[in-house]
Amino acid sequence: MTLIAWAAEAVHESESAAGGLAALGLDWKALLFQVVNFAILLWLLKRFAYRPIVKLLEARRQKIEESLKTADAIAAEKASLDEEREARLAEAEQEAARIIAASKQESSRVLQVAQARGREQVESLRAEAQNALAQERRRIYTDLQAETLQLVRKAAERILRKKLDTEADARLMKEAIQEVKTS
Amino acid sequence: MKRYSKSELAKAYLTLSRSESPKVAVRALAAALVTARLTHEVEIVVREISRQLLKQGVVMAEVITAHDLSQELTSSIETLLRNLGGGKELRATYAQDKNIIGGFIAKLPTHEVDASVASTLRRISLPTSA
Repeated sequence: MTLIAWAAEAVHESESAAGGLAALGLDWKALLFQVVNFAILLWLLKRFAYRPIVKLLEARRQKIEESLKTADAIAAEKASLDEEREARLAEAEQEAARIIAASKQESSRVLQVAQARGREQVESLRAEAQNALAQERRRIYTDLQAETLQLVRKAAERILRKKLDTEADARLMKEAIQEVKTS
Repeated sequence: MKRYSKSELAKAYLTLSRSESPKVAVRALAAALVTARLTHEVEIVVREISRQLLKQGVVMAEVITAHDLSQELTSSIETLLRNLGGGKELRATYAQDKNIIGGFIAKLPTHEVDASVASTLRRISLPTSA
């Protein structure tokens, strides 16, 4: 017997047996049918709808929970990375400051050394230039003196060749003889 | 042929000059110098002869002047050379060279007296240090 046929039979019986409960307005068969029907519906719902939904919800809940955990972990990781980044930034800033200070010190030292060397070179060049100038001055003086003396000698020689006669030469020789005697 | 030293040649010349005329002695010396291939050292041989003569008390001197010398001046120069040479006898030869301009140059066996005007002019034309 199908369920529908059973239900129709029950309705028929209930109608034919109207008396006791029927007097109270209650049809126990219909009630029973309703109860059974409800139980079946409940079982069907539980079997085919409630469990998958619960299972789906549970899976979703677990997934959400995992996501939340992952998010927490990511947040924690992010916080850790942020802290590490901040620490590294601070360390890098300190290192940069130290390098800049060292660079300034080194550049200052190099500048001082370069200035000192530059001064030394300038002094050396100046001394060399003065020396060269003095040498050139001496050379010019010597050349000029030599040229002047040569000119004087040539002029004197020319004059003496013309003007120095026998008498004057005799006087010169007498003076020379006296000079040799006394020397 | 035996090669003679300059000193030996000088002594031989002096020995020969005592018995022979100066012309003969000079020719003999020239021949010896040519044979010994010492012609380029004739001045050294002449100086050696002068030194040998100086040892014998004879001073040889060559006097160069630019002009003729008076008797007085010649006498003064010879007195001076005799004193300088330290010898008793002086044998002086005289020559003229206009290049010395004035004064005189006397060449002695031991040294030379340069009192020429040319030499004086050369000395004054040498530059002094600055």
